[in-house]
Amino acid sequence: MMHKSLFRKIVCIAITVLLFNDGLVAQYATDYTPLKSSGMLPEEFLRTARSLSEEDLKTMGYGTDRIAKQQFTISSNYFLRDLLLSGDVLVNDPLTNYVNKVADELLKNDPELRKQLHIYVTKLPDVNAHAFDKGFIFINAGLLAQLENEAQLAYVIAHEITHVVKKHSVNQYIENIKLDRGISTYETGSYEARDIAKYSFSKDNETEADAEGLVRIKESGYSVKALSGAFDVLQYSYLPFELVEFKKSFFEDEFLILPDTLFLKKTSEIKSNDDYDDTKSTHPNIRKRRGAVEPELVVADEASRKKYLVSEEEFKKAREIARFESCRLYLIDRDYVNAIYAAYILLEKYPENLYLKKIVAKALYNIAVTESNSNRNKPKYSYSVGNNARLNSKSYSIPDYEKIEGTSQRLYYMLDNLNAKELNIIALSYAFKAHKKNPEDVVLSALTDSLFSELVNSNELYMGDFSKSTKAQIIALDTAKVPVEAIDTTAEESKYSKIKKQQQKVEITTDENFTKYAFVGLLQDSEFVKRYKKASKGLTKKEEEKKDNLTYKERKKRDEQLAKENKNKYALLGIEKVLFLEPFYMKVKSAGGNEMINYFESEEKQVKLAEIQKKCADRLKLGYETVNTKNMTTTDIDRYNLNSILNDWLTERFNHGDNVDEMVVGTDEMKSLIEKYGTKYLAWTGVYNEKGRKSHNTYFFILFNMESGEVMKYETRFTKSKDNTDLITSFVYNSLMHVSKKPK
Amino acid sequence: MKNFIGFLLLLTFANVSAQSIPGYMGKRLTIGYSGDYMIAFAETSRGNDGIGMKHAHALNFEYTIRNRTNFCFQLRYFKTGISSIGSYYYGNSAVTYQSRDGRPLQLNSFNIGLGYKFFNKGLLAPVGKYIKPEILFLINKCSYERDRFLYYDGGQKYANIGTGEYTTFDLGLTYQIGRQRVIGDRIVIDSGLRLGVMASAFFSNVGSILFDSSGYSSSTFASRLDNAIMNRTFGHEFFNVHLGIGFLAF
Repeated sequence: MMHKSLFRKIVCIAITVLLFNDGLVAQYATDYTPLKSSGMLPEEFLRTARSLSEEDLKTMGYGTDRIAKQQFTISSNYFLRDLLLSGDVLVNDPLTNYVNKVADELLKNDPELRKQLHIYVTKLPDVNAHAFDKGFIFINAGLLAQLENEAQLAYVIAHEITHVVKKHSVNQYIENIKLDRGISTYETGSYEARDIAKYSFSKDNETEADAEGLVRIKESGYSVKALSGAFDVLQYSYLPFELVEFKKSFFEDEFLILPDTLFLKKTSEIKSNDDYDDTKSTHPNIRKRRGAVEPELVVADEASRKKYLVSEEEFKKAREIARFESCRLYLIDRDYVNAIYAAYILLEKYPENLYLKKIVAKALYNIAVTESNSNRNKPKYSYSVGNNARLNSKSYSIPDYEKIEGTSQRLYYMLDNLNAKELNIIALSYAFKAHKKNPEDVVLSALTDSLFSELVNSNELYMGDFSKSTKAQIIALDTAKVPVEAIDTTAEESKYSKIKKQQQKVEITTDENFTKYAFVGLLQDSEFVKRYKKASKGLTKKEEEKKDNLTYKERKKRDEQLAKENKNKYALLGIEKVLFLEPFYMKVKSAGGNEMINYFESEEKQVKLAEIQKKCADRLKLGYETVNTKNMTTTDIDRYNLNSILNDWLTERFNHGDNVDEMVVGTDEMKSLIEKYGTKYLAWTGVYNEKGRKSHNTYFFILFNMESGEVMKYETRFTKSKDNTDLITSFVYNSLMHVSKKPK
Repeated sequence: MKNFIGFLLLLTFANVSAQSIPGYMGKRLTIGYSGDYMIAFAETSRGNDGIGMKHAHALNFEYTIRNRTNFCFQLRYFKTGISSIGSYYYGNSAVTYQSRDGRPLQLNSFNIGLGYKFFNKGLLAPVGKYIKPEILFLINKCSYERDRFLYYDGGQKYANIGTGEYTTFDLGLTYQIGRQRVIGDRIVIDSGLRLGVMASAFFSNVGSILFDSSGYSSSTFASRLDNAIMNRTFGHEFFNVHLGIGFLAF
């Protein structure tokens, strides 16, 4: 018989678990709001890289390697500042708050060290964390989404703390310089040997961080045994955060039945190798790391230690938020299939969650339009920004399913085997059904309209192409006709009637023709029919065919004409107001094949460029709004969030390259942002100046329509001259003049 | 010539109306002063005594007509001395010039320049490096003391020659490389090098190379003066350092 107190304990735990699970389900049952920073901005976000560096340089002292340390400090602070203001760092949000609570528990016995650390969660999907020697630790949301327990998170933080305490980054920097110069005692051999030694030095640091991190865990109250799966998280980080069998019914309904041939009967095994060649890797391979740490996962007081010192509930909540967030981050990264699969996993738990449905609808939309786009002969434009060819032609294709391991392979296989029309139909069906359940949601409604338009304009599918009757109804009709012929046994059945009969039979029974019946149910919906009719108004199949029935020469001529028209169309835009992002400025000094960034000057010139923009806009009477993160105060959290939204939007838009059909879908807040600023135009300017024996400048200006993602103006100037203020002013003025001036 | 200038102006203003040109912050007209300078080792306005500075002053009007092109109109003036007009024979004797105060013949040159500044690829006028081809019309007035030509005819005598002023016309082509900066969004600083070739001197020298000019007599006073002005102008314009300052008017 069970002991009474033990029974009470079990009942309590069961109730807590049930309540907690119900709590999470209730919280995310209907929707999820993406993470935002809140509260006051920390002081470290408000300082320039120069002020951060000057402070560090004062306390640096006069030891050996001083110049290298100075160089490292300046560059490190520049990149730290860049990251802090990138919009990827979350402040006072549930994830950062939780991670800091774990750090508090971990460093309970070392309050001095705790004070020196600034720990934040970054909105990045990669399973990773990193640290700056200055005491900043960043944990990616993608890592939080994959962890098994709080103790593992504590270990990750402990590992990063070791990097900070041991100053691994600066030591690596100095050692690399010494190895390059051949004056390092770490390796004195050939150039190749010294090159390999750089990686070895880094691996030694990682091994030390693993070991010291474990020591720190042992000093805390966290369970050591709970860390046994920590390296599994790293090893299988390329897999989704859960392995759930993908069911074909996910996209299906009573009438839209996907053929079985689209689904792999067996998905590939997970073949992850933990003993890969790490000679040229900064980290030891997983087997080595696991081999070094796991034997040490033994402590005498394991029984008194806990997996969760903050709380299991908070861990699971944080992980769930990170998973929700990851879906959106995959979208931004153009990792559409992963986004669908991640949303699918969560939809199993929260089947009515609007946010997740929108993730699926958006990802399907972009897959469908890119597939349609690749089939069309459209004039291509390519853009290159500064030295980064980030807006060049970037066609999207679904990753090769053969390279995918595990349960998600089925989804990759299915999507890869659908053609543009089929994808369009499935996307529309999914989006419309989601819209019907959430009629107030403008994003779903807009997506539906766009998919109708795509169906008609790109895929030439009209209502007449879809059956209004089910397969069964047609078969019934068919069999009703057939007996009439069958009764006439006297007449010999001709070869041709047999062929026709056979064809008819095939048409009805084959799974390949599943699209014909896809809308049987939806065509009963008056809204569906109305919107379909609206999209195809004035268009007939005949006209479309005629339009595309061009010879190569005619098509070339048409494309040239179109390009010319576009050029003229965008010569003068007559725009009244523009929202300016913080400009980009980088000054590089090149000597002897080496390039060094002039960090201080870059930062100052960035401020100057923003001033030039304002000056030119004022002169042109062009409405000027900016989300510049310079000169922010602790209360500027809204501006900080805005900058984050715009950076997310821009990152996603750049990922699309020249593919204008793809929709920027990572954030739903652009509409309110457009309303707030009274403009839908976003401008980004930058200068890359390289000073060698001569100076070279690359200036760029890019103007986006935030509603459509369209590039309204793109301008680059390459000059062999110094980046004097007057030169840059003339460039900026010219760009803005074309933006503001009305065409005659 | 009239037609040619007309053609240039038509070309210029046809472009003006056809383009939307930024200029500098919307300002396209620059008015300024510039000077061409070079150290002169001989034949300065003071004659042959020591090293001097040869210079020319100009009033410039420049208008941005295309993204990288300025149309340039220039009123220019320079003054220099001509220490000798060579062997001019008066009667049977060679004549030399000897002014009362020791100054050589004075050459006052008034010029009108029409040209274009073409800014380097990627730049926008009026900022940055440029090249400037230019046509220069020169009205050269050479003044002298009419009774100070000395010749020897058994004794030193003064020849009574001319009106005291001699005018010639010339045409030049110049080529300038330079760089412009705009300071404080208003002041334009221009600097560069200028190379000039006078048509008369060029054709005269090329002509004498191409054709036999040994039988050609140029011993009249006017032709010697023409020749002296031509050579002096050629020397003055051949190579100069160019410095200018202006302001962006509108």
